[in-house]
Amino acid sequence: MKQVDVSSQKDLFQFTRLDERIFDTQFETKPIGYFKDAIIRFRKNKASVVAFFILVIIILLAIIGPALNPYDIKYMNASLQYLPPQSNTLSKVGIMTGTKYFNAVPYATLERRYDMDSIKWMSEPYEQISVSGSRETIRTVVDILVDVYAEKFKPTDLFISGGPTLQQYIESEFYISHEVLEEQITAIRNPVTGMTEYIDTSTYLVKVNYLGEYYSQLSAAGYSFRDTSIMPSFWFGTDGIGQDLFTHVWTGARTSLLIGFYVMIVTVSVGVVWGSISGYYGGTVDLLMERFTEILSGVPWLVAMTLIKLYFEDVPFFRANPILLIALALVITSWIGTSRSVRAQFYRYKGREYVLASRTLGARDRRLIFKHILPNAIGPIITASVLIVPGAIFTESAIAFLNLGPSGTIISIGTLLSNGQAVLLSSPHMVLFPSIIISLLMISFNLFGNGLRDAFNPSLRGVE
Amino acid sequence: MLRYSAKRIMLAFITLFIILSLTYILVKFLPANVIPIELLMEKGFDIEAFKRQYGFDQPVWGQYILWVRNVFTRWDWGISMQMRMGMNSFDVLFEKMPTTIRLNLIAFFISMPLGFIFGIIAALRKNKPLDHVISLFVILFISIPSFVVVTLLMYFLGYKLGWFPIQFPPSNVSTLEMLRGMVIPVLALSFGPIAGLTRYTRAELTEVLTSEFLLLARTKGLNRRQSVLRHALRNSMVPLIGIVIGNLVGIIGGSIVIEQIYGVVGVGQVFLISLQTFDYNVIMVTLAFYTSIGLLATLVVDLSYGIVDPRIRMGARK
Repeated sequence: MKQVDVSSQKDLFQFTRLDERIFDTQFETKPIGYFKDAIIRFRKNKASVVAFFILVIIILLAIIGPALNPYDIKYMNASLQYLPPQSNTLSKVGIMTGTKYFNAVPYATLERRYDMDSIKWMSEPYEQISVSGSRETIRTVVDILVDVYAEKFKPTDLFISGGPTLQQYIESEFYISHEVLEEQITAIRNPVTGMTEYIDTSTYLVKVNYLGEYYSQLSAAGYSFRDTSIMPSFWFGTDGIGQDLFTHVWTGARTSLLIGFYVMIVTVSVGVVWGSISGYYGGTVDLLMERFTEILSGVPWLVAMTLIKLYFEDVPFFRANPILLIALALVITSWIGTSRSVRAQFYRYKGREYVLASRTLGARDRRLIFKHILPNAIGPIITASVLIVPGAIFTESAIAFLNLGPSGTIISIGTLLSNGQAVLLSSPHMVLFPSIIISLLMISFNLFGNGLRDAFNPSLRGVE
Repeated sequence: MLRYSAKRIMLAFITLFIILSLTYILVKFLPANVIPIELLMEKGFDIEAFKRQYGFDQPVWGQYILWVRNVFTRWDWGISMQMRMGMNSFDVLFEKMPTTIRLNLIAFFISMPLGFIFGIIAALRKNKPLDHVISLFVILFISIPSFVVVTLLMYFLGYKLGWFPIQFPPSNVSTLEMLRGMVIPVLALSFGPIAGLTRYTRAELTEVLTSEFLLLARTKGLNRRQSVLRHALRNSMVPLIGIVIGNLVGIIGGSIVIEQIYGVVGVGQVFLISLQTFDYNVIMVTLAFYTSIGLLATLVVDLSYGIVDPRIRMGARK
């Protein structure tokens, strides 16, 4: 290769920026911190993002859900028990139609037992042989699909009095026009359906052409009309005492989520403090604290719940806040996991040079713990705390199924499921909706938690 | 290893003893009528003599010492006072154990091979459609609570299709009827473990499949099938053994919730009834049972890790 002697060709070169002072230039890109980095990674995980939005929707519904329909949590109407789900919009596409399927109904008494208008579908009559003891009976039966809402809310003409009503005048061939003299509409409660109905008791002046024009003054007391805008529509159906299940499911979801969040808050705070002290100080302190957690972790939740229920159920505070009793039972062992992972982080970092440097500069224990070591554990703590919530919801439901919870009026997903279980065969909707909600909650919390774990700790990605 | 194991076992026993002592004292301090009503109604029943006979006249501490001595020296857990009057409370529990264990063992032997197979398929077909399908089912069945699964099975398989009974049959029915009755609880008990095992197997196998020694095996001329069967599978099974053994121990406790929902007369029912009737001795023996199962499962898993990989000492000091 040919060598070029640069020094002899100085005029080929020239100095640039000779009269400028040169500084480090500002980064053109934005700095990406730990959390930002994690968020970017989290966003790439589509399933977790979807799960996050489902969670947000469920939490929102748990907050505002009960207010979305006219029935509040105290609404109760015993004559409307076990109504199937019905929605005016969704029934057009064939779901939540408010119908119920009845198997093998005796054909002979069908008309007496059901309003024929409300039967939407009927099978061909067939014969059914039932054996009781040595006797065999053959009956003709049919399968029917009944619109339960139409059956319950068949129009009832209240207070039918003699004489023509306004409606009858309007429909008659003599009618010309009418005007209101004195408006009076009375709201009354229909004793059968419990719905509010409106009775028109206004006085009208009706102009008719009956053998020449004349006016008739009419008090339309016989005329009752129904405000169809408040025709009941229980989206999730009703339960055994005619309470609206939609309101109850979302109230229950709220309770379950609240229990989850209470457990999470206590778990994280106790776990972090315990793990920090145990990990930072080590030695005898650590040994004693570890033995304590070891013993506590051996207590099954069944035992913890039993003892706590037996001891604290009658304490006035827990009587007023029964969900805290369940939260307390769950907290007893749940913080141990968090405390262990925090402790492990402390053992990993407390001997590092940067900690030593800070200590040499005179930093106190508190500063070392909170400023220098604990932030290393933030990722695992956030992940663990998210995964605690579905665990708590699951255990709460199990407690409700076993009837181990406080005997009282907790409305949670667990108690709804447990109540619905008793009437599973006749009213499956009572189990269906709580089941869907709890399954969605568990799936989304798990997916969201997994996404967070991968985001905070990319080295774990793909594992599990 | 031997010393380490002995130490772990000792510690587990001490933990068990402390938990049980605390539970005993806490349960005993609760006010409850311990004398069966049937006896109180009897004419000429001597309450004081009865109390003296079973040590109820002593303070809680005295009763505790008596209880510990009986359990340690004669394996006598005291008699049942309410559920099965006069029967040894350990027998009350033991009587119901076969049903629970049978159900859970069947579930175990179904879920273990299926979990492995699905896990292996998912790992070998990683990021292919089949893997995605399996992973979807894994996340579904890990998340959906077993009590929802058993409810669905009861409604559809039991009620709508009528294939299986909707409640666990009593013990006096024919074998065929019994087998039919076991299908729903066994299914409900299997889905979760299958999903869990699939996930672990997939994770382990994926890791092994990307390791260098497998590349070496391929380089020296083994085909994919040979390398997977002879090298990858064997190595990935190692960490899974602990999980499988842990599952096996855990099944003795059974799933109390599924038993309760499906009406299985098992260990769970003994516990719930003893709690309702406040049968002290039976409560204690069932609590002891559940606590020891939990401790045993942890212990076995930790020890099996140590056996499989001697470098691991779970719970050992730094």
